[in-house]
This record gives sequence, structure tokens and C-alpha cells, in this order.
Amino acid sequence: MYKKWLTVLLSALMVFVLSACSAQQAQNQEEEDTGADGGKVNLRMVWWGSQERHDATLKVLDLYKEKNPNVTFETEFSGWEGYWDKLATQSAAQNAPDIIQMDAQYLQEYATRNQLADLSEGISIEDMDETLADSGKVNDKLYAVPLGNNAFGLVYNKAAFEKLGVAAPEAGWTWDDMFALARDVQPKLEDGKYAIRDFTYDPGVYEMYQLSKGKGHLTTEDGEFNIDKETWKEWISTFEQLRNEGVASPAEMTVAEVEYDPKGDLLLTDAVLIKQSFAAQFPSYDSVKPGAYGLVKAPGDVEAGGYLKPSMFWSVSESSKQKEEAKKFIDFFINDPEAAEILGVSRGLPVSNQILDSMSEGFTDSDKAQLELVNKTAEDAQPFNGGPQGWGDFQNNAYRQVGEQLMFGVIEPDQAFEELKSQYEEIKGR
Amino acid sequence: MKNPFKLYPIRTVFFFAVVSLIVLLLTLFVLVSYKVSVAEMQKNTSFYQQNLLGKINEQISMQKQSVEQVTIAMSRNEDLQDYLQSENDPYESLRAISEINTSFFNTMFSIPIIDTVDVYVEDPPVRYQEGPIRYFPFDHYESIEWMQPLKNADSAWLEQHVISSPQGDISVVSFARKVYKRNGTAAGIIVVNTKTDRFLRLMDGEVDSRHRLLVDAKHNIITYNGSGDALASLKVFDQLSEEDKINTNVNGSARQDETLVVWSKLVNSEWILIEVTPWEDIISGSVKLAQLLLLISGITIVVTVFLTYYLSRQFTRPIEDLLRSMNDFSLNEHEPKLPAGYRNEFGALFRGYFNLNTRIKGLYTNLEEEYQEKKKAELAALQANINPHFLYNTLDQLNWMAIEEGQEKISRVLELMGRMFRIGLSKGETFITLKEELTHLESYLQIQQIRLEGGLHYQIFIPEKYVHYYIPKLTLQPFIENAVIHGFRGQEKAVIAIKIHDAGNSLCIVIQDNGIGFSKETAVEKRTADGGYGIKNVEDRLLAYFGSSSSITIDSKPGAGTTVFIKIPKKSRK
Repeated sequence: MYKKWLTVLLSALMVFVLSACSAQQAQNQEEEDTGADGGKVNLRMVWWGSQERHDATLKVLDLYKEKNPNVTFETEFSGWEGYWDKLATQSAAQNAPDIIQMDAQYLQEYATRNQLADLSEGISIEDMDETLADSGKVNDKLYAVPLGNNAFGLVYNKAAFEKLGVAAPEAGWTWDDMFALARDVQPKLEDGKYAIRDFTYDPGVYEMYQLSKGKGHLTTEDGEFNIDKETWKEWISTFEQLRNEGVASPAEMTVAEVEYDPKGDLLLTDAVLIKQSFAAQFPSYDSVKPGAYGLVKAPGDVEAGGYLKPSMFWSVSESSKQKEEAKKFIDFFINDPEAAEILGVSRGLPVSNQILDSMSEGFTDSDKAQLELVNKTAEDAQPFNGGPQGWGDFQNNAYRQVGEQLMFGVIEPDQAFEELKSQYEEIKGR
Repeated sequence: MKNPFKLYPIRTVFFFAVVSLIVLLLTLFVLVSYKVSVAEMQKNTSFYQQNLLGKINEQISMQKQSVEQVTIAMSRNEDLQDYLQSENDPYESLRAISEINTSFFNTMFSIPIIDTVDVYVEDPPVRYQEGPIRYFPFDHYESIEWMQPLKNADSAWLEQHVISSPQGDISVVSFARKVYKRNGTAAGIIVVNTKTDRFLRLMDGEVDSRHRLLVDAKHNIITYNGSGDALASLKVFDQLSEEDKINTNVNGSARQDETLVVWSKLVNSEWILIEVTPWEDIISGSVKLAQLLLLISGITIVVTVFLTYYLSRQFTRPIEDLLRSMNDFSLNEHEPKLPAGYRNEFGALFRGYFNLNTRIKGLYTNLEEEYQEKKKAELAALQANINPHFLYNTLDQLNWMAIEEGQEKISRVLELMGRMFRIGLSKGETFITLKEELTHLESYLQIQQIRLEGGLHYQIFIPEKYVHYYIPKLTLQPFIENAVIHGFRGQEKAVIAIKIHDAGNSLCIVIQDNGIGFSKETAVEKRTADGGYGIKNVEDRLLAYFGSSSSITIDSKPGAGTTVFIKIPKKSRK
């Protein structure tokens, strides 16, 4: 009896002592419980594009986060402007984002500088065309996963053509057809509006022109400068004439353009009727004024001008500490049907044939226009040449600068050609 | 006030005393724990917060300085200066802007905190309204609200505001610096926008996002995080600094308006980082502790109540049992019903009570017996009172018969006998006066004189002042009778003298005769034979009444007579 009550008393006492202890312990625990992340992954991600692409991509990220609650994204998306400058600085500082939207003209450069991770393992590309998949390879290693099939063509204001009663351009036309069409239309336009955007400083459009003349790409396979002087001068002078005739957009207007911006893009502001566009960029126009614009295959001449290219890529930064997680995301991005549905053709036609087949039924007119451009181009496509290291820089800076000088008439075409050539050598030698 | 220990039942007093003691102790314990832990919490919290804020502020300050320095470099950019300086033709403007952009890109992209740069110049290029570097007309800045600090300053931090970007509207904190032409007039402004997120991320620290507030030297809010009301927090801080309670130029902490305010101010930075923690958050741990302790205390009190109740029962039950036993006390029951097994004080108490009971019962029995005896004695006395009257009456009749017969001697004897009877009866009294005793003696002696026809003489020398003392009835008679019957043999003249001595508190009565006397040996024989009974009786009675204060001494020698000394205490009442 005594023992029993002693036990009860003692245990009551113990409860007191223990409670005091545990309070102390709880406090200690609180101090300790701050370090662990619990498998949290934060992926930094950058891409360029228009609002439509931003929206679609963010939705896919939400979907991914829903399926992988431990993953968060830190995104930086912008237009083309400043994108590569920023990425270059970040890469130099070993501070590049984990996942980078890559373009063909810069792939060579980043891959050879060892700034991209090898993606050969861990991402399923079995559903992809081999040639397309190969476009992401440098020295037989996959550094960039293609996100879409793309073709360069022209976009025009279909509604305006209909209104003016002028026949819209069709696949199979020639460059001369295009110039003639522009000259035909111009008198019917109001002041301050132009039939065609000046392509003087757009190397991509000129490349198609040179290709159609059978003079090959702007660089050779070996990375040699291959701009044909005569063809180029012909091209430059044609546009000089068009500018002088008031058919092509004047220099001030051309350089002030902010592409894809509803208030800055010359096509979207109705300042011009025809301009260049990738198939993958078509939604940027169509989403602003659905049904108003048409896509047409690049004009040809003795050969076809157009070629197929991967629209863009996902790459993973070599400095990333979360390569596996990044690869996992990219795999999801290109292979997941739900993601594909959300993305649609915002980055060109889906790379997975399986997904493309399953999606084709639900294609909108805009999607179909894209598909058509790719298909039409594919009929007689020129081979794709992403360009050597430094090519992106050359196109976006050197060529553009020289083009600007030409447009403003501060340089003679011969001098300009020499300038281009020397600039190329300089960049290539870097 | 009356002592409750005397007033209320032991069980109640014990129960309430123990329970209230425990409750008091526990309450004290909980209160002290709470107070101490709150004090400790405040101390710890402000210490750790100060440390943390100091570190965060250092990082912020570094970012801040890097931004400030960058704008210096930007404002002195040659291309920008050229652009401001001259009226350019369109192409040159385009080139200049392109150069400025390239150079700014290189600078701004190398500092991650910089989001975008806005350049305010007279005659901005049309194209660059979007992108990382944007151009706006110089004179517009005066109409922009968050640019106001720049009106009277070369450079200033602009409070948190919203700008549009490809990511949608984002909140930025900006540093703006005026750009001067070479002739000294202000012609442009460079605004470096840093995402508020960047500061907030720094302010969040590594642990959690508390309510923190970044203010500049004039206490304008630069940015804040957490869910709290930034203005209210700033008000609290302003109050503190207005009341001069604190020095905002160094780190510190203070309690104000139910909040704990901790701040950090670096020497090389004008910004103050403030953390405001609701007082509830500080004490929440203590409250939890107190709640836990209260819960435990509650349980303990419940346990204590039961335990104390049980204990008080255990302690007081024996006493109650004893009380019940006392109340139920009855002579008929042989043993009181008491719980067994107690070996402690209760056991002693029970045994004591048991013994007391036994003794009380013994006394009761004695008393009963005594009472019975007394009754019997009373009855006997009543009976004895009746017999002497018959005898007395008969004696009187005998006297009359003797007178009628002319027997004068017999008549005289009968008369004396009557007197003796009367005194002998004395209405049953045990004590009679010495005078009555002497009358009884004289009557007897006169009868003996008559019988012995002049051979016996007696003398009584007792002064009148002693005769009123009381002595036991028939104390002297047996000695006289002894003297008359055994003392005188062959004497022609037998004399008996009765005297008295005053011995202070006692009377000493002396009976002297001139008889034959006796030796001690013969005295013993005689007593056993016959006459001893009377004297023995007197001895016993005196012993019974007076004890050792009385005595009987007999002095006798053969042929020299006998003297008897009887010592009796003076007794003036019955």
C-alpha cells in the first residue's frame, strides 16, 4: 500500500521535472530546426519570347510544380533584346541560370566554351527526328534539346491584302514576285505605311536570298566567310531603291522597331504589310490579332530559299548544381502530353512526333499555318547551318550595325562589305 | 479570529491545508516560470535578432553600395556624355545609344541585383521603351511621384514602386543619379532598378520571413516584408525615436506598444533595418510553457485532492473510530470495537483507552458491590434499632416488677441497665460524647458496686471542658469490664480511676486499677481464651477511624495493677 502511494507521488514529481526539461528541449529543438531543405529544388530558368510564349511556359511550370512539389522556379523571361548580353555576362560570372533557352546561332559558341552541360543521358529524345535531334549536338554530344521544328518564312497582313483586293502571296513565289507585289501595293497605302519592312540588316532573310540564288549559306561548313559580294550588293541596292521609292520602311522606323511588341512591331502596328518571321513566331502575331495574318513560304529563285531549323533549344548550364533536376524538367517539357497541350506551338511544332500526331487534330488555324509553312518548306528545304562559333554575335551586332549604316546611308556598299568581312574575321578569331 | 485548527474537523483542516499549500506552490511555480521565461525570451530574441539584422544589413549595404558605385560609372560613360552633349543626326544617335547599351549591359548584367536601368535624357530614342535599358524624356521625371527625392539631390534612393517588365508588373527599389553635362547642367538621370525581391530575399534571411522594414535616414520606408502593417511598424519606430528613448545610430532593441522593436544601423549606411515582432510572438513560447505547466498543475492538484482526501481519511479514521467507540460505550459490552493492526501512536491510544475502559469497569463493579454492602448495613441497622426498643421496654417492665416485689436492688440494676442500653443504642450513632460514654461507664460500675456490695470503688477525674469531645461509642467500657471481671480477685478494696490528659490535638484517657495485674505472657493466653475480643474490637475500630493518630497502650505487672492509656484525636463534631 505504502509503495503504491509512494510510486504515485514520485511519478507526479517526475512529471514536473520532466515538463521543465521538455520545455527546455523544445526550445533547443527550435534552434536546430533551421538548416535542412528537405529536398527543395529551385531551378533558375531564362527564355526569350513574346507574351504568348511566356504565358504558356509559366503554365507548364505550374503544372510541373504541381507534380513535383519540391521544385520551385525562378524565371527571367524577356524579349530578344539584351537576352544574349545578359546571358554572356552571367556565364562569364559562372552565374548562368540552370536552364537556358538556346538558339542555334549561339549553340556552337556556348558549347565549345564548355558552358553547357552534356544532355546525352537522362532526356528521352527517341520520338524526335534524328536530323532534328542532331541539330542540338556539338561534336557528337547533345548540348541542347530542340524544342520545335521551325522554318523561316514571311508573314503578311492577310486582312489588309484582302481589303485592298490584292492577291496574297503564295508558296512557290520568287523574290522578284515579292518586290513586285510590294511595289504594286504601296500606292494603295496611306502615308506613313509601307508595303514591306526593310531587310537590309536582317542576315537571316538575306541568307535565304543567297541560298535561293544557289550561293550557299553565309558561312561554309568549315566556318569560312561565305557572303557572296555580288548577290549581297544586289540585295542591298534593291532595298535602297525600295526605301527611296517609299515601298520599304525608312531607316528611323526600321531601327525603332520592337519586335512582337503590339506597340512596337511594325507589322502589328500596321506600319508594314510584309515582314520576315519564323514559323514559331507566328503565334506572337496571331495572338494579337487572330486570323489577321498569314504565313508564306520564303520566296525562291533558282533554288528554294527556305530551310528547316530547330526553333530553339533547352540547354543546361554547366555551372548548374542541379543538372539532374534540370534534365528531368526538360524531359517533362518535351515529352509530357499535358505540357505539350499547354505549349501548343508556342515554340514551334512539337519535336516529339507522337505528340505532334496526337495534337494535329486539335490544331487552330494559326497552328495549321505554322505546320503548313514547315511542311511547304520541307518539300525543297535547304540544309540547315547553325553557323560557327561567334555567328550569333556577328549576326546580331556586326551585321546589324553595318546594315544600320547602309540604311542611314553613311557607308557605301563596297565599304560595307569589307567591313562585314573584317568584322567576321575578328569575331571568328576571338 | 479563532484558530481553525481548534475550530474545524481535523480532516477538513488537513485536507484544505495540504491542497491549498500545493495550489499555492504550483501557482507560484507557474508564475515564476512564466516571468523568467518571458524575460529570457525577450533577451534572447533581441540578441539574436540584432545579430541577424546586423548581418543582413551588412549584405544590404554591400548591395546598396555596389549599385551606387555602378551609377557613378554609368553617369560618366563617355558615350552617354557624347549623346547628351551634341545634336546628333539619326544614325549617330542610334550608334550612340547602341554603344551606351553595350557598355551598360556589361556593367548591369555583372551585378545580379540590378534588374533594369532607366535613362532619362532629353530626346530619348523611340525604340527603347522596353527591354533591360529603357529611355524616357528627361523632363518627365518631375511628374513621377517616386522620383521626387531627386528634385533637390544629385542622387537618391527611391522608395519601392512598380514598373512594367516582360514578367509583368514588378516591384522595384531604385537608385537614381543625375547626369551632368560637361558644362555642369543636369541633362539626364540614370535610374537603376533593383528588384524589391532581391532586398526582400536578403531581408528574409535564411530562416524565415519575419516582419522587417528597411527605412532610410529620414525614416521613409524603402521596402518591407512580412505580413505586418509596415506603416504601423514605422509609427512604432518613429515613436521610439521621437521620445528619445533610443539611439537610432547604433543597433538596439526596445519594447513599445506590445511589440519588440529591434533595429540595425550600420556606420557606413544610412539605412536602418527594423524588425518588429508582436509581443504575442515573443511570449508565445512562454505562454505555451505556462499552459503546459498549468495543465500539469491541474492534474497534480486533482491527484493531490484525491491523495489528500485519502490521507486525511487515513489519519483521522482511527480518531473517529475511537470517538464512535467512546460514544457507544456500554458496560454490557465486554470489549470496545477498535481497529486492529495499529502499532504507532494510534495503537498506543487504543491500548490506553482499552486499559482505561477495563479499569472503569473494575471500579464500576467495586462501586456496585459497595453499594450492595451499604444497603445490607442499612437494613441491619434498622433491624438493630427495633430490637433494643423491645429490650428497653422489657427492662422497664422488669423494673416495675422488681419494685412491686420490693426488690430495690434489682430495680436499681434494671434502671442502670436501661440507661446503659439507651447510650449503647444512641440512635445508631457511631460517635458519642465523652460525657455519654462516662454515664454509660458509671452505670456499669454502679451495677458492679451493687453486685459486689461495697467492695468496689471508682473515681472519675475528668474536667468538664473535655466531656463534649466525641469518641467512638463503647471505647472505654471493655477495659473497665476487663478490670472488674479479671482484675480484682481477693482484694478487699478494688479501686478504678479514670483520668484524662490533654495531649494537644489528642485526648489521653487513662484507666487505672489496683488489681492483680498480669504479665505479657498471660495477657496473650487470656486473649486467646476469652476476654481479648472486646479490646481487639476497640483497637480495630480506633485504627479504622483514626489510623496511626490513635493508640492503645497497656501497662501491667502482676500484683501491681494495670494502667491503660487510650489516645484519641480531639473530635468536637460527630
